[in-house]
Amino acid sequence: MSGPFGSGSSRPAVVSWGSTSIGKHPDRTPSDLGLEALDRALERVDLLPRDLEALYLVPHGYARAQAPIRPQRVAEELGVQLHALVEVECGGASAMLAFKAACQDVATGHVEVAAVIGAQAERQLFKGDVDEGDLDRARLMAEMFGPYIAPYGVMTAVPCYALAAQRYMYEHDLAPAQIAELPVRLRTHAALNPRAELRAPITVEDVLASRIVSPPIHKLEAPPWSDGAACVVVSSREWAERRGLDAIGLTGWGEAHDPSNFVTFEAGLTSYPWVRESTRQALARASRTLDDVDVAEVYGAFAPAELITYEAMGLFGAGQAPAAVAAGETSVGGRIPINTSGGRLSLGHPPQATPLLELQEVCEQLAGEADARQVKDASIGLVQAEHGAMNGSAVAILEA
Amino acid sequence: MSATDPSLKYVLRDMGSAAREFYRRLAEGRLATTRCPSCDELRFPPRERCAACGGRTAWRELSGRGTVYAFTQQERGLRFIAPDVVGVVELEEGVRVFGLLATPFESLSIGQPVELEPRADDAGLTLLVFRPG
Repeated sequence: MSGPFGSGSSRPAVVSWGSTSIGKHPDRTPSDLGLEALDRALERVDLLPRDLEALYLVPHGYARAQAPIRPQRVAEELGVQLHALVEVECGGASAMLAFKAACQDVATGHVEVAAVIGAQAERQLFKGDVDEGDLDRARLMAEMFGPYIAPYGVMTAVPCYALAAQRYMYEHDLAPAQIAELPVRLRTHAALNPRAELRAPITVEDVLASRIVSPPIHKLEAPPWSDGAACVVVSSREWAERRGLDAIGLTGWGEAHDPSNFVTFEAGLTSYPWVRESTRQALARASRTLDDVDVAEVYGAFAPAELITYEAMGLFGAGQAPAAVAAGETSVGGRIPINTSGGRLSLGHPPQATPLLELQEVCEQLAGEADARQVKDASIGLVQAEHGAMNGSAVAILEA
Repeated sequence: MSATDPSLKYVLRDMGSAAREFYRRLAEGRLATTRCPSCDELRFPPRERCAACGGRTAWRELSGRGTVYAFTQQERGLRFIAPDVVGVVELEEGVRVFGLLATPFESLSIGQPVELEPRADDAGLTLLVFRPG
């Protein structure tokens, strides 16, 4: 069997994972959090830092200014000679694409074992006095939205997601209470996940009573802006066997990017063809179908976008996801459990770590280590990550 | 362009040639985007080359009339422009653009006809502002 990258003994697999708690870490730097996540991943399978041959990193986020050439400082802190040292940046998908880069270097045989680390700690930024430097940083962040959106004062992706949400509800005649069912369901997953930032049960009424952050999106339909870090360790099958480690193979990879910046003027706002294409490509390369998938983590930064993502993946017809969610089809025990971690809305969302947190959740499920939220006999998992708001998607198929 | 509000300084600094031309025309009151003369494809945002055939595109003026495709309000941030209702307008030529909707949020609906009233802004650009048409 061959995977999307490499074949035979060099094909890449995930051999360990780890994370910090997700939530508030006011006194920690992203590097500190990232190294803690790495330590946990190494300790889990009795590896040492010196076992690592390569490090794949992502930037520390966008609100926090970052000095150039950070990877070499991380290497210095780690104190290990490396054969690959890489930082990958592509918005919210950065850590997913850093994972891909690690898998590629393993598949070519350049390295046998690599760690991928994503960390973010921005929650406390701008909480105190905002000085001229902070203000200038905010101006720079606005440029992210480009010449056709930034001039209108757009500073975050929220209004872009709100436009898609409004259009989705309009096109399919969906009521606010139907969208609000998703955060309620995700919270029931999070209640079973000790890593999750938000674990107290909520109701549809709670969601609808929460403040509107950008109409029609309520606060409880949006993720918390969390601090946290995650790490996955990737190796060749051969290396894992030599070290006596269980390996979860990467058997499919798909990726599609719309030629747009945040707002998909030409593709419309409610169909996410890049999600459809990346899912199709990943499943085809793994010689699997959606029916084979036992458990999935999707990025889903906001409730309406998460519902559109389910539909774009091909799981439900257009406008049908809210009813399927309400019927329990995406809950643990349902047809296809999605975001058993609690998803971005309840697990918490440090974007630069999020794809690795998704990989961690699916790997735990496939390893049978998900405790109270374990999906029975899970052996094939899907992880989807994205960038923009949203206009590009990457999908990995993982098999125990 | 002379800016007294520095909020767009990085946007202006890194603006590519197609975007600069778009705003130069808009400052003269002309909304335009590019089309490929051989494929006849009208695209927004404007691009200097046609991705399909590689040919150089030509500018084509747009009427500025269209309908509301989607709209929302923002939480206030660095750069707040009253009345702070933003949205996507589908122009009658078929392309969609982002802009300000100079109408109270509560009075707007999807599909409502709107027309362009470009407005110079003290950050150095003329913006797309739409009013009920």
